[in-house]
This record gives sequence, C-alpha cells and structure tokens, in this order.
Amino acid sequence: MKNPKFDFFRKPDLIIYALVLVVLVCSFFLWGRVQGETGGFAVVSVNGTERTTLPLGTDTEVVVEGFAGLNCTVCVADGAAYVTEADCPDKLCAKHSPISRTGESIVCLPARITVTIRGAETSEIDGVAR
Amino acid sequence: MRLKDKTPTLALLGIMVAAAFILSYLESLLPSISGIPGVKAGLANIPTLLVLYTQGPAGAALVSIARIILAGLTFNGLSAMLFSLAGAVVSLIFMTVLKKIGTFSITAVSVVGGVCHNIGQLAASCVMIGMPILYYLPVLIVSGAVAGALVGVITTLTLKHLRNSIKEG
Repeated sequence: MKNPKFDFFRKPDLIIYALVLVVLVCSFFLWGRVQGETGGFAVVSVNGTERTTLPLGTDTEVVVEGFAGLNCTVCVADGAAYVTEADCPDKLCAKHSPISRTGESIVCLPARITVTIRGAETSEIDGVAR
Repeated sequence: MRLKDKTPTLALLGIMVAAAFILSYLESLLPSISGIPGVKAGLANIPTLLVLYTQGPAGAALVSIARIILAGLTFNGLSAMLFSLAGAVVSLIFMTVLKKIGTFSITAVSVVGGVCHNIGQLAASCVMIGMPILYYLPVLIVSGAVAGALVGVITTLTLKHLRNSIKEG
C-alpha cells in the first residue's frame, strides 16, 4: 500500500523550489544594494575645505590638486580608498594602506590633502550573541 | 471534546515538546557544522512538523513556541529566543498555508519552513542590530532550504513508521 502522503517528492514541489530560487536571486540583489549603502564615502579635502566625495562602491581614480602645486592621485577600488601617486617629497600618503572604515584617514601634509572615510561600517562584527 | 478524548493528544504534544527540547539541546552542543553562526540543521523542528501533519497548526505552534521558550530560558539565551520566535511564527504561517493547499510533499513544505524561519529570524535581528546584517540573507536562504529538506525527509520517514501509533486529530 503506497500512500502519496509519504512521498519525498511530488511534481508540484517544483513550483516551491523555483520560488525559493527566485527569492535567493532577489536576496543577492538586495545584498549588493546593502553593500553599496554601507560602503560609505571617501571625502577628499584640501587645506581644510572639501573638494570631492567619492562613493566607495564605485571604482574611480581622481587627481587632486593640492597646496603649492603638489598633486595626489586618489584611487577607489574594492570598497577602499588609497593614494597611488603623490608629488610630495616623502610620499607617506602613497605608502599608506587602503582605508575603508569610518574615521580612517590618509593625510598628505606637504600637499595639505586629507582623505577621510565617512558613513561606512565602523567595525567588523566581533561577537555573536547567543 | 471530552477530557478522555483529549488525553492522547495532550500526551503526544507533551512528548513532542520534550523531544524538541532535547533535540534543541543536542544541537546547541554540536559545534556549528559550517563554521557560520546561525546555520543549523534545525532538527528541533522535526517534532513541530510531525505535529503539524498529525494534529494541525495549533498544536504545531504550541510545540514550537514551548520549545523555543524552554531552550531560550535554559541554554540558548534571550536574544536567540526572540529571533527564534520571530522565525517560528513566519515559518508556521507559511507551512500551514502550504499544507492546506495540499498538493505539496512534506519535504517541500519543510523547505519553505526552513527558509521562512531564517528570513523571519534575520528580519528580527535587522530590527535590533541594524540593516548591515542583511548581507547574511543569501547564506541563510541556502542553509534554510538544505536544513528544511533534511528535516522534511526525516519527518516523512518518522510519520511513515509512526502512522499506526499516532492518532490524527
């Protein structure tokens, strides 16, 4: 005696599995959007005044004209900002590692350029409540 | 219904709450299989599903909520309890509706239950922790579906073997 109630699979199940797949795909889109929102901005200022704001979600490269004719090239890639080229003598800003978290900054003193991250995630999850 | 007729149902629900509680405890002892917190096999939902298919949604809700409160107060912690409750409510609603439609297998209903449980849980934690944890969603959907399928298959097998001992109410 075979009772269809105990079948592991029935044809109409396919509708359900397809719906789950659709929800999964949608969640990936949502994921991308949330990532873009949490990515924040890199704020570039020269001599204390804001010049440009670069969203961390989109990869760009901007040449910033600094103080005394010294230029810096600010690059955004993989959700982090960094300085690729600098005219200043010490090139400390170009040696700085990429920044991506709120409050982090790169400073080029001779050119008076600062790159500061705003509105990004403050820190990675460091604990899980159980 | 007279008390005499209620007794088997009461006894069954009691056993199911106990079984779910123990399964919850076992799962909390196991280290996370995948290394991702929140990803569990959901074994504790087997009794819930069993009751849903033999006693209906009210009994299933009772078993599920009793189990979550018991596990929350004893070992899972209060925040996990609140997240679980949100997940359980969402998943029970969806599973009840799908079961009512009647054309789907227990496995498929359970898959939806698993996915909905995780979505409900994530929604609750979004309200409490904030939007960024939404990036967890795809992982939780996949794990919910896999866990749901596993729970569905186990429940189907269990029901098959117990079909003569459990009275449907």
